[in-house]
Amino acid sequence: MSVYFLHVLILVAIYAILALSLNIIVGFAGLVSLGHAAFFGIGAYLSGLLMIKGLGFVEAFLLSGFITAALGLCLALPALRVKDDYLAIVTLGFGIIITLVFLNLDITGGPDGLVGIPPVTLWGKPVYSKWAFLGLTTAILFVMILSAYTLKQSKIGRAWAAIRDNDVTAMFMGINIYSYKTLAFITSSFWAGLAGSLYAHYTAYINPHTFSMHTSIKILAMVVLGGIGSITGSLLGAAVLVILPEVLRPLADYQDIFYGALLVLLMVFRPQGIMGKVKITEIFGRGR
Amino acid sequence: MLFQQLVNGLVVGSVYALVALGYTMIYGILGIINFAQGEIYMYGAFGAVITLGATGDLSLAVLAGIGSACIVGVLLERIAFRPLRGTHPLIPLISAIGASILLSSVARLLFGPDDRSFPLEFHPSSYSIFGAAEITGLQLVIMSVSVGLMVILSLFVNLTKHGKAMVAVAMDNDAARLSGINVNNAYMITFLLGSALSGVAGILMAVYYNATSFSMGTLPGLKAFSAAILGGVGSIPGAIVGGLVLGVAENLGAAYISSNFKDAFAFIALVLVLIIRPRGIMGSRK
Amino acid sequence: MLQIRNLHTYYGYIHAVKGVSLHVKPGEIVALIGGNGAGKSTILRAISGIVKAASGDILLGDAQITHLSSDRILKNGIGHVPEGRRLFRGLSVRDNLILGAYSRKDRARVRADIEEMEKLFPILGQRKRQLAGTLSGGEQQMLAIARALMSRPKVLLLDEPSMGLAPIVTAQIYEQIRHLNRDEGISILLVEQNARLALNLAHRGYVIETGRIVMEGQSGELRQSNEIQRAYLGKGYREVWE
Repeated sequence: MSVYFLHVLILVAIYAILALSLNIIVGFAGLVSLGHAAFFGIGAYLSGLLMIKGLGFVEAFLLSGFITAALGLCLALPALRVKDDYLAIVTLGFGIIITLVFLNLDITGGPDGLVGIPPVTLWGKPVYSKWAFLGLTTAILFVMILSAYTLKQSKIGRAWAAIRDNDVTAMFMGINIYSYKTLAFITSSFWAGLAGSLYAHYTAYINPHTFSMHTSIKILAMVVLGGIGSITGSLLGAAVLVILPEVLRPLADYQDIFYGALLVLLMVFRPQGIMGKVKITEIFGRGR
Repeated sequence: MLFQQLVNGLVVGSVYALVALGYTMIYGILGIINFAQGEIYMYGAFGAVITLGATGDLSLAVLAGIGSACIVGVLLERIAFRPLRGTHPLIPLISAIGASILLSSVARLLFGPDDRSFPLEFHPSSYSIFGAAEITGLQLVIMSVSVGLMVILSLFVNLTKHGKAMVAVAMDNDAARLSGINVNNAYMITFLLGSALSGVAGILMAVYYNATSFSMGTLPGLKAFSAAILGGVGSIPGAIVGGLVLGVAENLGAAYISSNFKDAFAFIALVLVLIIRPRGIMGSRK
Repeated sequence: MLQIRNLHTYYGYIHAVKGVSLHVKPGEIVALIGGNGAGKSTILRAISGIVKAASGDILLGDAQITHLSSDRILKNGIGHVPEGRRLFRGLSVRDNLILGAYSRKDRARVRADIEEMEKLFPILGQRKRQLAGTLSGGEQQMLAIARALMSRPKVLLLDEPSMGLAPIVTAQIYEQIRHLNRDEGISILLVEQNARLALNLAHRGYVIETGRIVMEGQSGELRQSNEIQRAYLGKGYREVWE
């Protein structure tokens, strides 16, 4: 199998983790988060810097996950106090602020980014083989899918579904909507941070542009295309939107036109995405 | 220095207010967040720049700019929003995001990736305000145009039958229909007005910064939206206040805290206001 | 004047109105009574175009108004006072009246009509600049009726005008309705849960249950009927059939 093909598969796996993590907020809990790439970036920079400072991979990996989750909590605290309609712009603003942080801090290397990030090390030995890396990433993705599935079926998942359908009613059922929404943010940003860590140690070099609003929208497109709320959908969406640009490389200039048109057309003709259940109203209730 | 920053902030803020008015009207009456409002602004600027370059006639250029903005606005309403009426609000939101990307990347294709300057001669005149700050002739023009348009809009909404109809549709869609108001027309007028205002805003900023580019609308659009929310979404005075507050906050932040983070201050201001007063400065309890 | 033939409407998958036919002759007051959820309001909303008719015809005079948009239907001469009044609460009393006349082009006559409304309902004249949401229940109902009248309708659809109002206020409202019919010649289709009130006012009535008309006739007959007395007028089984 060619190195290039492996590379694409690895990217698919990493973005699948990302898309699934966003799906937890958007699809499971029904909240709009447009700054998701920020968590991706935070995890990447954190893990890269930690390893550069001498930590081992496993420590850096886990720490970046937890710290990103903590930052997700920090965002959730003010963000969730505003009306749901405004969450979109607040999370977007958050994404923009984080991008600015990446661009301006010395420690993150500014616009030139972070270089010389050490590769993954397992049991003390660096992992250079793409196959091994793919295996690692897939394993983590698999764990994530299991946990997402478990969450969805659990009491937490049911609470999220109630909130997604109509949060005021959920409140009357005794569900603490604020806590559950915060939990969605924390869980989601944890996994996004882990994805970032994987990405950083794979590419050995990261810069702020990878984690911009543009990427946040790309991740959203993956979730929407695959089907909001559908786990397999997120995997599919990630696969399509990673592979397609590679296949259509000569048309790279038209990429954004494609994204924009895709989102509009999807919403008009098939808002439930590829794997979504029949009517979006069944997923989201009658709205307001 | 402080006063100067205040003046600069108010000038930029008045332009944000114009775009914010578009957001607030569309949100108030149609219930959707038009993420692509910034792109309408951008097309307004391009319409003017290109026409001015081709004909040298400023009035024609301004009309062309407003016209382009309106055309884009109407197309947007027809294609990206009308089919989605009555759906869960997340759906038109995503559609608007897609439209925003589509519109700006099409602009990139049509007009190229580089900035264009505005081919206009300006006497660099400048006036002193109480000796504490300077305001340039251009800044004065911008503020007067913005304020003038805001006044006209307020008069339209408060005094004319069609303006009141727009408010009525925002309040109670069914009751408005039962009063004989053609709701589709009301939506169209709302979009036209909002687009025209954004178009003018785009032209003003293109002249002010002497740069027109395909991406010039994205960030100002988001900031204007923050301004609309900050001021109280659905409220016309709110959008005006919100725009001015945001412009000032942004300038003061850039001057006194960090100019690198200039873009961040708009959103920080938004979050702060929403925490203290969740419905915005002039928002109504609904 | 107003005729409905075999109307069917759906609410999602629910068959809300099942083949209803009724008519209102010029100058008549016709009552539509029945319990909650029977479909009465839905019929009115189908007439004014808020709800789409799945099949059947609605005619005003000779004109088919079945599939027209609401503003066209209004221009044809139907006024609708919706359930719950649905005033523009944040707008003034006067603005509500102005909006009621939105579709009219004759500005001078509109102004004259507004003054007439304020004479007909003096409270509205006194409170013309007040926000509609601050009026009392009865005042709001009067404003809602006045607003609908501003479009100079030939037929007025009234959806539960007594809802939420104290009996004295309801009596005043009903007096106004009687006056509008007798002196202004407006035909009225009245939906009411309060069957006694409705049948006392109306010339004829229809009784609706679960989307179908189960009884119709002159209001006098309906008032005397045992079934109606038992189901809607509160008489006990023993009182009626002993």
